[in-house]
Amino acid sequence: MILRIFQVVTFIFVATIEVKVHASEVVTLREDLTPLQEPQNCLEDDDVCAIKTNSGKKFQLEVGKAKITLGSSSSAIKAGKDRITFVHGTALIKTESPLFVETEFGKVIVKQGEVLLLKQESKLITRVNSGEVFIQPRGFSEMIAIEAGEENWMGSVDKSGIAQTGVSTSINFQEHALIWSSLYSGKKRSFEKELKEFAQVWKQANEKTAAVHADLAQRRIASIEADYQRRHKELKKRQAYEADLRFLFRKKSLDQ
Amino acid sequence: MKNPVFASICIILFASYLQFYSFVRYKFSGIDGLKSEVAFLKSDLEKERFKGELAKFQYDDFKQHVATLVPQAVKNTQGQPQNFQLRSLASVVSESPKVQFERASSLFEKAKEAFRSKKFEESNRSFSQLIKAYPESVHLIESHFLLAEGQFQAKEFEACLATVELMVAKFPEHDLTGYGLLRLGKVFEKQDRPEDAADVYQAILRSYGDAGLKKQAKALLQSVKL
Repeated sequence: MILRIFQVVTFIFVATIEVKVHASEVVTLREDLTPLQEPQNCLEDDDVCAIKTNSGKKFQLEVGKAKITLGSSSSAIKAGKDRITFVHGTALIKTESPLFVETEFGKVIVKQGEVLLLKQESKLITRVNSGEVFIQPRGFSEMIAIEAGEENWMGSVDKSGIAQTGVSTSINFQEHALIWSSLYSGKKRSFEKELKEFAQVWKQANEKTAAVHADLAQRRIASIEADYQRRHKELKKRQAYEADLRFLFRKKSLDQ
Repeated sequence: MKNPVFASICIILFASYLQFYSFVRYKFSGIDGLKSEVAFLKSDLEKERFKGELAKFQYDDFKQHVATLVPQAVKNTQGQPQNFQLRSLASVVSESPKVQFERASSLFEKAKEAFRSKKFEESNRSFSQLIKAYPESVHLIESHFLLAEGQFQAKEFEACLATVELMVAKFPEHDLTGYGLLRLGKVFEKQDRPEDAADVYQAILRSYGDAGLKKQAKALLQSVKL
């Protein structure tokens, strides 16, 4: 009996450990103590410095008043006191003063607040947690604002000489929360609190972007309807013409 | 009672001996040194990869910058000889970078030389190789066109049709595709399909702005109708 109880307890203990290990692998990234630097040990200087994190690690970079947490296998170049060049991967930026993030597709201007950047092969996604954030795709003269709870993207320059971009949409909450939590540096409880606050902002953004997209959909429906009406009118006209032609043909045949 | 104690001591001693033996064996086998060497080489490799990534980023950045300038430059050089090169550049500008200009250029020149000397089999082979190995080369469109032309000259009509079809799919707006379509019309004529050839010539007249191309298409259309 005692042996049976011991076996059950051991099983539960081992299973719990395994579940905890799996969960921690998904959610958190460990601090990178030895990120790659180019030139070597450039982080100590104020000059231009390129940094790359190792796989499965994160690294917090401080540029002026901004804290930039680079995710797993991510790289960026510290280019000045208020600017960085984002090369690859994911980055969580929190700043109180303006920070300019440059990429090959355009600029992200974070006046203040928190923003998550995801760089994929052919586009950069900007997700705003809070604050004032703008993007300026290459070739654009104006800046595009992204509200908190929304995301937008920039892609490569097309044949018109302007970088591609989209309409702001609400963030995929679940996916965003996972990436955000992996880069978050504070305590678990404070993250939960921030996530709850963000959920409220996200709800509002969802409603707003839904309204924008509903408007776009209405316009599209209206244009399709107008096109349909035009085609219908043309069809009627052609049918009338063909009926006239048939009438003429019959008349001529009967006359003969 | 004494026997189990003796047995336990023996087991402990044996286990300690095994541990000591494995430690000594590991220490003097050189594995430790090799491991640290591998770790050093790995870190070196990571550094080189990072440098490569930064260089690629700079190249991407430059490419995107050029892409913003090309449309205006094309507009400014309308009707000038360099306009063709600029449009060729513009048509490949949105693709990702793995270009090796130097090697592609030498292969292109070699293929062109063979084409000029009417060694069409050799030129076709080289152009096909260039298209396959350097899909982002600035010579890509010209290579497709000269390949189609070479295939036509070598009487490989089916291959020529396939190449022109590829040009239409990849670079529909480029004038060289228009010239490729002229060849397509000719192939149809040779295959005794005058209606299809006429359709192709009419499509060229409708879709392309190049005066020389239009003139040729018009003349060929008239000859087909006759």
